Amino acid sequence: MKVEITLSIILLLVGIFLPGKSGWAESAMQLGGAGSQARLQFSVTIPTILYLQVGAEGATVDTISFDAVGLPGTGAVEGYSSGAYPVPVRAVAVVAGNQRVQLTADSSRPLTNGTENINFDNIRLRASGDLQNRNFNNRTDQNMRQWIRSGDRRGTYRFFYDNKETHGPGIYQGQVAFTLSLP
Amino acid sequence: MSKRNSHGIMVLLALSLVLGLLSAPVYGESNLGVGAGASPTARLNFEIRIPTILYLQVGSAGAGAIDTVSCDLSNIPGSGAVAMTSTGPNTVRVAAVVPGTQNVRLLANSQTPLSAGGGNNILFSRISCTANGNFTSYTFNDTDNQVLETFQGSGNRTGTYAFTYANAATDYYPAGTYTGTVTYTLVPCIIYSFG
Repeated sequence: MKVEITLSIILLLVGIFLPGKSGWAESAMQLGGAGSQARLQFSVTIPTILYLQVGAEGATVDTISFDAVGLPGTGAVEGYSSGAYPVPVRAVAVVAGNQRVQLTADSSRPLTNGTENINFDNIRLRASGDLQNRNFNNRTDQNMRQWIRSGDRRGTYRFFYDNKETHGPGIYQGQVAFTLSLP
Repeated sequence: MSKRNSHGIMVLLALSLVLGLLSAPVYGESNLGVGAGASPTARLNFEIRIPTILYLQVGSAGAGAIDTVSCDLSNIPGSGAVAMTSTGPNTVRVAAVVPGTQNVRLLANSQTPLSAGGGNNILFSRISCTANGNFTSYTFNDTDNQVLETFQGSGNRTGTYAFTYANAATDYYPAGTYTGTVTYTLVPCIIYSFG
C-alpha cells in the first residue's frame, strides 16, 4: 500500500512538472527492422524592436552649443557638440511587414536664460545619410523622417542658429527629445 | 524565394540586428524599445551663448576705415555755414545686445581741436552735425565725453550725420589746412536717479 501511494505521488509530480506535449521532442519506438523518427519543433518569437540613438559615445545627453558672437542678422552660427559632431543618429526598427516607423522631435519648450526665451524654430538641421533637413517647428510631434519596413537607418545632423532675432546676452538652454515610434 | 526561406532570412535579420545592438558600445542617449507600443526616446541639449555686443559705425564700415569730413572755405567769415563733405558714406549705426533695459550711450571726444600747426587751432565747437533717423543733431562741445545719445535696451539704430562748419563772423583763423579727429565711443551704462 505504501509503495502504491509513493508511486502515485511520483507520477502525479511528473504529470505536473512535465510541460505540454508540444514542447517536447517526439519519440517513437519501432520494433523490428524499421527505422525510428523523432522530430523537433523550433520557434523564435521576434517582438517589435525600436532602437534610437542621437549623439555620440558617452554617459550623458550631448549638448549642442552656439556662440552667437555676431550681431543679429549677420548670419547663421553653426553649433558644436560636447560629443561627436556632426551628431550621429541611428534608428533601427524590427517591425512587421510594411509597417511605418516615424522619427519625431519635440521642440515645444523654448530655450531660456531664465528671463528670456528663444524658440527652437531659430535652429535648423542639416542632415546626411538616411535623414532629412529640417527646421525645428516648436511643436511636440514634428515629423523628422518616416520609413517603412525593418531596417537600420543612419545619418548625421548639423545644427545652425539663425541669429536673426535680438535677444539679451546670456546662456539660453533647452532640450529636444527625439522619439522613434510606430504611427 | 520560398516562404520558408523568406521567414528564415527575416529571423536572421532580426537576430543580427538584436545582436548588433547588444554588442554596440554604450551611447550617451540611446534607447531600446521592445514590443508593439515601444517608442524609445533620445534627447539632445541645446545651448545658445549670447554675449553683450556693442557695434558702432560712423561713416564707412570696417576697422581702420576712418573717413575724412572736410570743407573748403571760399567766403569770408560771417557769410554763412558751410556744408562739409565726407570721403565715405554719412551712415551712422549703433547696434547693441545688452541685458534687459540697460542703457547704451554714444559719446564723442572732441577735446583736441583741429590744428594747422604752429599753434593755430580751430575748436570743434565750430562744427555742427545734423542727424537723421534714430539720431539727434548736436554741436561738438570740445570735451572728451559729450553724450550724443542714450538708447535703452538691445537694438539696431541707424541714421545719417551731415556736418557744417559755422564760419561765423568771429571765425577768423590764419589760412591753412586744419585737421583733427573726433572719436565716438559706444558704452553700456547704468543711470542712477537721485531725489
